[in-house]
Amino acid sequence: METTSVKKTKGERIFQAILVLFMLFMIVITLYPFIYVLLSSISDSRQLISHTGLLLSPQGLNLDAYVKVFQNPNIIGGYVNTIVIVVGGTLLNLFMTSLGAYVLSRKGVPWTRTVMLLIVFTMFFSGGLIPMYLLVNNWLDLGNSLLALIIPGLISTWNLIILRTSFEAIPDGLIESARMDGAQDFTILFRIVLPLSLPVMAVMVLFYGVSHWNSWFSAMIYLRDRELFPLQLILREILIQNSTAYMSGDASASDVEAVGESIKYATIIVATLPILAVYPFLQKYFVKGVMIGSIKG
Amino acid sequence: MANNTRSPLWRKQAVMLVLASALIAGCSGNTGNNNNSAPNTGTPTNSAAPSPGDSSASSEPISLTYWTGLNAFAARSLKEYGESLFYQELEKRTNVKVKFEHPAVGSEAEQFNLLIASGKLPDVIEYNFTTYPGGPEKAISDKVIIPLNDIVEQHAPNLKAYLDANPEMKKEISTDNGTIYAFPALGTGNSNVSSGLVLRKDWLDELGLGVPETIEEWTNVLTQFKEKKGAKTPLTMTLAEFKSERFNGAFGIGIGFYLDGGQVKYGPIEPGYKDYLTQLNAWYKDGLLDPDFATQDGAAKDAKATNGSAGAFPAFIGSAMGKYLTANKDSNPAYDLVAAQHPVLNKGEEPRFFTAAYDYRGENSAGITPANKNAERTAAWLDYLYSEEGNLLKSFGVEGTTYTLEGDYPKYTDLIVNNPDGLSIGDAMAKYLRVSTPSPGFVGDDRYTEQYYSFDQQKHAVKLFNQYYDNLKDTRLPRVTPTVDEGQELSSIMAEVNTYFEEMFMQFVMGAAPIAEFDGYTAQLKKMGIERAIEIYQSAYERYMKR
Amino acid sequence: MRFIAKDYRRHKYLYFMIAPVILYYFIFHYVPMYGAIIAFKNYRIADGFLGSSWAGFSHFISFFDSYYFWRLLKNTLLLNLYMLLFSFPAPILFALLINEIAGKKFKSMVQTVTYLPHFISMIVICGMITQFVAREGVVTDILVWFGMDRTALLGHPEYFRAVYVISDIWQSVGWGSIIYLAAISGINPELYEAARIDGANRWKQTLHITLPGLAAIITILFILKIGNMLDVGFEKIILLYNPSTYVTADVISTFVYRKGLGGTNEFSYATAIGLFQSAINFMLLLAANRFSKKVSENSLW
Repeated sequence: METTSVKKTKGERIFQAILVLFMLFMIVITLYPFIYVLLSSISDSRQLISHTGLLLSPQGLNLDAYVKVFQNPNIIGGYVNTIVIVVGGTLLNLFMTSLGAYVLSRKGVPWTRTVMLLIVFTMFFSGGLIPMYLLVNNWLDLGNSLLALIIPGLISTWNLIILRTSFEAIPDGLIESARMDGAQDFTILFRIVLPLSLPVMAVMVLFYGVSHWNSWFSAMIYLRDRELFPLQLILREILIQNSTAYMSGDASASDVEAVGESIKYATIIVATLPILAVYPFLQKYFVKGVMIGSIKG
Repeated sequence: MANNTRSPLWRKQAVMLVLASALIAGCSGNTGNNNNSAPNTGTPTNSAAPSPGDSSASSEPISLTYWTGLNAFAARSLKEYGESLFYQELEKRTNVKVKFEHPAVGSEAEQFNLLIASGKLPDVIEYNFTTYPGGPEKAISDKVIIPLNDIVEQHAPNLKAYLDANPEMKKEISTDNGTIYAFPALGTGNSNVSSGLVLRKDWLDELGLGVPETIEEWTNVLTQFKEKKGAKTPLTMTLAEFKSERFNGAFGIGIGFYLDGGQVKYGPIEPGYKDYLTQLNAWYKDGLLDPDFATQDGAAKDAKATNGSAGAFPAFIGSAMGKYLTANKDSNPAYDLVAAQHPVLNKGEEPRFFTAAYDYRGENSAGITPANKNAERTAAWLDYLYSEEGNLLKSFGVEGTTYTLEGDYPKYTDLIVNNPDGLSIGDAMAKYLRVSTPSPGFVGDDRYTEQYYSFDQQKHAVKLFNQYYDNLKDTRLPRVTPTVDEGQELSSIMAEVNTYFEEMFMQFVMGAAPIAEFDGYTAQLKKMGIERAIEIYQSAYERYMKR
Repeated sequence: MRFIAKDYRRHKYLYFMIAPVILYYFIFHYVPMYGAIIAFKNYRIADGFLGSSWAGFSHFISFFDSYYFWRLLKNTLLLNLYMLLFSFPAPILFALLINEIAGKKFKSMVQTVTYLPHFISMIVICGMITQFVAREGVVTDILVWFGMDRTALLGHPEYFRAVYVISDIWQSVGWGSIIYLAAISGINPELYEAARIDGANRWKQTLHITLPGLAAIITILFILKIGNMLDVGFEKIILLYNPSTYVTADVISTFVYRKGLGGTNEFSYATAIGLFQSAINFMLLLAANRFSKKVSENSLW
């Protein structure tokens, strides 16, 4: 659509105007949570707690929360671990999911239906936490290693289904003609199917990458060594510190600090900004015509 | 669409348990509606027994694996307890090298379960064994920990001396069969009640009012706050705070299960509860009680407490009071708070219900596992913490570094109270010592509490809230141990009872249900099996008394 | 056997490719499945899966007999139904609208901003929701302006579902639309070209080209959503509900969660309820899949 500069009708111009207004509204309401967190993180907690209503400017500027966050001896290591998990995990995810999605999207293979059914079945029935822990920790001996955060989640069934659906949309003719030319399935997948599926592969990178980035549960279960903790687990610990301060019965956990509240928000910012930067890079794959180029070429 | 990766069931359940345990941990302070009759024995025993620290220093060095949750505040500056001054010095003194295993903060309960499932036990487990399904006795028969009676007898002279001097405490830390199963975290000092009602002192002074003692005086104060100070929500609370002993005590009933002359009772079905509800409803109707108590979270309450919307609220002495007083330091220097005694009905009565920590804290008590090859040395090592010297090390650290002696009063140095690296007092304590949260040994030493609370208002509050603490002996259900089957039955009954009770509570207070329906409501609770639940607690209580 | 051997010769590479996938599902999904047995046992960790005593169907029965069973079931289904009616189509519509934006820069800005709430943790998001609909909250202010009585919305059962569903859309519409935007960019532009030559306006193009291009993915996601009808995450609900809204807000997962608060390990009970939910969900999915196969060519298998 970007390519056409056909004259717009009056109706279309009115529609565009309303659309822009609506989208501005969406921007305002979806940007607010982020602004709120950002403003809270640079506020002075002592003033922040008496504030009610919309937060539109920082309540007394105070950047100590960020200093505190980076004083935490685990944060830097947490970044490194998270990046290792995100990059390594996502690459393996993409490889495995593409394999599965490709095979399951082939028509005329008699057993794909059964395999698909068996795979979907696992979305509903599972053995629970403890058998999984015993499998990973005791039998496979992956406990306390980053592999425990990657291997058990090699394929997300949901993503597999999406990718398969997208592969199915690729015209059979393309694949058949490649086969005629003597290409076998590995080649077809990597030379034809994947290049034709860049938008959905970008989505897969995003889905897998973000879920690795945000995940803390496996780390909490399998890791014992704090040196291996990913960022999100440390973030969670900091959030918990803040909430237990309320609840603890003992005299103890009662810190009266300028950063008490804002540290929570600073941690969220620190833990979120890097992954937010990824999407704009992936967006360029969402452009129309990637497909047509390959078909003609 | 929000979940792009459908998480399988186990994951959801696991998350559920994580949250559950977080809440359990959180509530334990509030729901402590049970109690013990252990006396508050000031400071640790001044036992004459030889310090095992010295004796063991001469013996061969040993190494232990030690499983414990890392205190949330310590996690800010430590990677493990081994880095803390306290444990490093302890190793020097005892020749016992400890390798710590820490579950992620907040995941202690799951990790404990997984530890047992995996069967790979460390030498020492620090945990709240009273929450073990079926109680600590079951943990022993499951071979998670070993019984310690003989070992304490022979190798833990300090703990033994303390228990001999405090038979009530001994009862509390034992199982129904009299088995000692852990090196307990024992509360000393008089600070178990760490929360209560707080009012705006500057308002009271301005209006020429005294701190209210009776419900009638409370009504008057709240009315005046509303009329003369323009308080929109004179008394603000969150829903969770209605689960602590606040105003109900005035009506002679506990907030949940409690004791009355040796009989277990359940507050919400007692006649006194009707009066309590009637009072809350009146306050609600008159706009004295915050109408949004059910929907607001802690942050909203904090805001009301500090910005003049409310003049009275429940508060923890440490977190809330300290926070509120600092919040207004610059912007409203007149802002002042004063703690009020737990209210009573008639002048001169003593309050009898408090939400308080148990003297035997339960959590973070150290059990020795069957995997431990040096059980006796381990016991001697843990026992050191119950000696005068060990307690000093744990609570105050190393003389000259973290404290100095003024007479025989240990005073924290600037490293703790005015940390050069900018650590708050809580963070600094967590980094160098093990004093602010329960751990094997004594906790809540008065000498620590006095220095920890920085405001005079807080110091006053600790004294006031704990003034009638001894009355709890007669009203608080001690920490009893239901059997596995009883536990299951209880959770079945209480899941329905709590749901129904909570809904009706709201309706009575907000006037959606007329108070005349109180009888129908108690009948429904009985139909749901509340009497069976009371019976279970009663028999567990009787087993407790026979210990 | 002969059949497989024959098929193997034909699709040798496909067998190689699917092997690691099947191995993965076998090891990490089917092997641990024995754990589900505890739904029929009184599971104690120390006794293990085999050693724990049998409970038969008692956990199921105790749930079905519960005073609140029907209410929980109704609330769970209704909440899901509203999500299906509103939360499900929202990202589709949103993606179509984004697709209509003329300015390229503005378009990518809208995308980048609207997916932000997905990254803010649930606790913080729910804290904000509570604030917005509190007595003095922004949303309340707006509704009061339209004539509603001033009150905290979350104190009233009749507003709970609306608050839940609308905030869900707010939180996830941007993120949810990504998959549809990707699908739209996969549509052959020549189709639009041809339609324009035929004189079709934007609306007609959307109706006859874009939507059919999305049909496959919409159908598949819809089937998956149907297979989720008996399941509502409890995390957001426990952050938003309170006893005065239990009537509409209390769902199966939150009830099980509160039961677990008793302190006893409710592994068996929770597993039993989970199994019940999964069984129903799976049957719904099977039905939806079969139906879809009949009326369209899209199905999971």
